Amino acid sequence: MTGLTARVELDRGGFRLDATIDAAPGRITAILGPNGSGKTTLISAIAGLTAIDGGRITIDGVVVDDPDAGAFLPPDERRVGVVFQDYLLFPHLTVRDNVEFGPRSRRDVTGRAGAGEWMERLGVATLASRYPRDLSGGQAQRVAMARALATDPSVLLLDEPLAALDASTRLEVRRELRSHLGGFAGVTLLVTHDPLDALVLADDVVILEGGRVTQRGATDDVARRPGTPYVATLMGANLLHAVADSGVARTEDGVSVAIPDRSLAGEIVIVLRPEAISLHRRHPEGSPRNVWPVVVRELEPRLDRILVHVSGPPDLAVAVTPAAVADLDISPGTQLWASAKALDLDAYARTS
Amino acid sequence: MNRAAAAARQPWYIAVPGVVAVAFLALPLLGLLGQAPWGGMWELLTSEEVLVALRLSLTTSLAATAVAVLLGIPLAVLMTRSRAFGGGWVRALVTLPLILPPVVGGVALLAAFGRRGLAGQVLFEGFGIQIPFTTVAVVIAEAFVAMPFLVITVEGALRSSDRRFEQAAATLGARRWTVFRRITLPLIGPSIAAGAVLCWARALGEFGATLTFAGSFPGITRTMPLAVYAALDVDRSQAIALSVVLLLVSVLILVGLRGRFLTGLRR
Repeated sequence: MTGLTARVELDRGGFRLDATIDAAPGRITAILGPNGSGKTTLISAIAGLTAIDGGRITIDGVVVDDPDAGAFLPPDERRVGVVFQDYLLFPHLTVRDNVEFGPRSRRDVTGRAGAGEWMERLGVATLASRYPRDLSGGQAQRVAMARALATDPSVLLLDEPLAALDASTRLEVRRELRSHLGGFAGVTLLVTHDPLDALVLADDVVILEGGRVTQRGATDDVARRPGTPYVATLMGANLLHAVADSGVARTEDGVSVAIPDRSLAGEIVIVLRPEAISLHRRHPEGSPRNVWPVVVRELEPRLDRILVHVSGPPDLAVAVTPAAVADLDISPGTQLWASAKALDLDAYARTS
Repeated sequence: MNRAAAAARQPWYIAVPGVVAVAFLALPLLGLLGQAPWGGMWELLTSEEVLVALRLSLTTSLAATAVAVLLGIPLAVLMTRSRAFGGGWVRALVTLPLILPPVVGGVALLAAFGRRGLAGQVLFEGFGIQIPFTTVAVVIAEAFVAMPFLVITVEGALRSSDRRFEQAAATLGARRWTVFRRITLPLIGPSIAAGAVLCWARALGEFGATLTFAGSFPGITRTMPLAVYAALDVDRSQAIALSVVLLLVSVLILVGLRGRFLTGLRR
């Protein structure tokens, strides 16, 4: 069996990580979660830098950690490459020696040729004789990638690979990263707290919150159908949990919402995009059936719009143009009506 | 006087004792240089006696440094990486020779390696080996007194070095020995060098423990400092000439280490 199968249970002074990750070769799986959700601990466990307390980790069919069976392979015997958040390029070695470090340590002669190839492919061959202190952030990131890939790993772990970069470099590196990984046939796990990384780079996404997996699936599906408030907020959408019955859903705080799909019944999740909601001074006439009285809590300027956070119920984030803010004369405390057409909202049965 | 200089001016109760301290430190050195027999210096320094002492000092101090490096680096690693050796008692043991009067160190070495000593008795009765008052005793005395400089410098460097570099090396497939040789050691290389130089300087100047444990036999145990002391009774100018040479070596070491001299120890 190829790929990575990891059931990781770890206790760290009050924090418990209990997560299962399955990832197939040739695919990029993002592990997305807030700070302190256990992402880095998970990576350490897969790399063999931390032994797990329970569960089992298998790489390409080889058991690398299984406390019950007393099996543990140290990091140097696992085929796992790690790109650390701050890269950890060896400061006393040149770029070439950094990239060749893996193959040389394994006395792998063909691997050293491979190291040269990866340096070419990632565009760092011309930097071969430089030292890490003379590299820019983007260059260091690529060298770290080349170094990890030169060991021909079965699993490549990227720990927040873009976090150490400044904003403009991040855009550029993010764009390149996917093509750089195109030549890699193994499993790629991308740990990040930035949903954009996951949306742009990953085929699959696993959401990790408080040491547990709260949602997993193809990236598009997760983005379209957030399963937790955290994911919904990440994706910039409003999320309402409700119970549906023949086209009408009632939320936990008693708001009734008209939904398009009359066949839905039982517990559902409603996703309301901030753009799909309108704000009005007076109760709107006409078609929208979902109209709620709300009070403006906060205005949050974004790039080309203003996000108006309102308290209901339901509590919502609504995207409006700056002109609309002026027209409606909105400020914190203003009483308004929020409306959404049934067709503009997404509702789906809740799966856990 | 401009305003900045006036603002920086120190009160008398700081300035006066400070200047006295400088004079106190400088005066002996000036005395030494002033009384040095500059004219006959070359002749004095190339006499058979001096050359023998110089050669003995160099070989024993380098041997002591080698012993300190070979044993001291692993000890420093143990002190930072092993729970058993990380305790305060190991640190105290390592630091003690720094504070211990060297003559006490010499007596202690006699008690350990003397003919009736703890280990000496076994060596003498079992193998007929006698250590005190040999060149080996000089190396042992110097290593005992000088090793703490190396251990403490290297230990400090290990403590402040980022262990995640070692983890990164392990994920790249490097075994422990490779990690130690290609990552751990190079990263603390400057501190090893600084520690070794300090250790060598201390070994070169060793007097008390050597005299007590090894005696002062020309060609066998009479190193430079012992030769200086011996010459003082016979030929004062020779003692001063030898002292000037040792002073010169110290100054060279100080210049070579510059900032590292202090930061290496403090870290």
